[in-house]
Amino acid sequence: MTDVLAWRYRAVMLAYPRSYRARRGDELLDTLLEFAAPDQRWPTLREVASILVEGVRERIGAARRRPSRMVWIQGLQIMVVLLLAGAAAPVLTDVARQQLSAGAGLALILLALATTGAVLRGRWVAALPLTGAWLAAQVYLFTVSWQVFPISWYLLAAVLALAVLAGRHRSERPVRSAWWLLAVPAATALLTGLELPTRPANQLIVVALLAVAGLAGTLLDPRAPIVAAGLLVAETLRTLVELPTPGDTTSTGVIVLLPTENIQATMTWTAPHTSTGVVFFVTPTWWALALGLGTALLFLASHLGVRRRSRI
Amino acid sequence: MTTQGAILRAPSYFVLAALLDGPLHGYVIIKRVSALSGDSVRLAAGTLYAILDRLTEAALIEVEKEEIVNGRARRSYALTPEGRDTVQAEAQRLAAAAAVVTNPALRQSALSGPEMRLA
Repeated sequence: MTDVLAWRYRAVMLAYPRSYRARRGDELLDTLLEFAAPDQRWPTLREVASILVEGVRERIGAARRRPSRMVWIQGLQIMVVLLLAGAAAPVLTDVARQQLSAGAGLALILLALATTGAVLRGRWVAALPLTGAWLAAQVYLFTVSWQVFPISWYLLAAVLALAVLAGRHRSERPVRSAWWLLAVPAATALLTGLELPTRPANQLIVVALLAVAGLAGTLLDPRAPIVAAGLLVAETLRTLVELPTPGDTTSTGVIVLLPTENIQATMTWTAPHTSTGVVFFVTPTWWALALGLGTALLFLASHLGVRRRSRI
Repeated sequence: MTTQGAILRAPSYFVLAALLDGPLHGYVIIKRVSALSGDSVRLAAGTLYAILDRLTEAALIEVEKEEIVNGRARRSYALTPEGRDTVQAEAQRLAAAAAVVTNPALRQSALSGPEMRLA
């Protein structure tokens, strides 16, 4: 019986990284088996949950005690990388669909690679102007040649986060393992493949899911809500501020920020939107409230998580 | 000397308290923590080893002995002098906090200053 139980516990312990299993595996298994009843064949739910949670926390680097400042820096770094991936996704899509000229596409891809590299290496001061240049290039393409996408709110949010990192944590660079690099193409691929919803009611669901995921992530890692807060702000801005494209006469834009002669600013919202008989009233005020509340909740969750994790 | 700025979470406090009377291995630590806390802290094995990692990293405990039992490694953990000081300092802090509730005389003397007198 013990052999079967030991085999099953070892299977659950695969949640831990290999190096941790090599160091702790036998000892942990010994303790687990000492608590087992003589005829027990299956791991207890409580132990399984504990192993899975601690295993994941060990893998994502959340198990170690770190200074609060470093947790915030790492959270902002992960947030910026995902924001950059979110900004790169439409560029890659447009390049693939040949909606961008070869020169413009190449320039944007090079800027994206340089910026992401700088952020991954913790070079905040270098990453900030690079992100600014990327953003400026997109605005230029939009205003001058109407090439596809408008301003990327993901990039704007990344600039703000990088400004904080460059201003307050200039010389502090988090150490990252090599597997972290995989997060960049993975996030970009995911966001490229994902058709982000355009209906306000669906967008509200996306924002709500983001907030809930961030709060739930606090249980594992206090960096999770920091990341979610950044994505929440960018996603809400993307929803609230819509730039009409040429020939688009049905824009649901609320505020148009780019003052070019081609764009007519509009301050009206075309809600209600109907969906399967249900009327959704999604107004800018509700969006702003949801954004403020969600972001505040996420940062509070981060703060509490960081404070708790800074204790032994 | 205690770890600068260290504040113990309840499970870590009870793990250190369990080791005050001598080195123990994982199974016995869990049993003792449960008994010392009146069953309010019941550690799962995965949680225990995360706590032991943090305490080792903070140099509050150390591996005292490693042996092979039933073909598997078993380690016993002991308090370091720093760990002993830290848990005692935490106990004194908790006792002082409890005293202002349980000891009316102490409360009155703390409030006896002129600026503390009730209007």
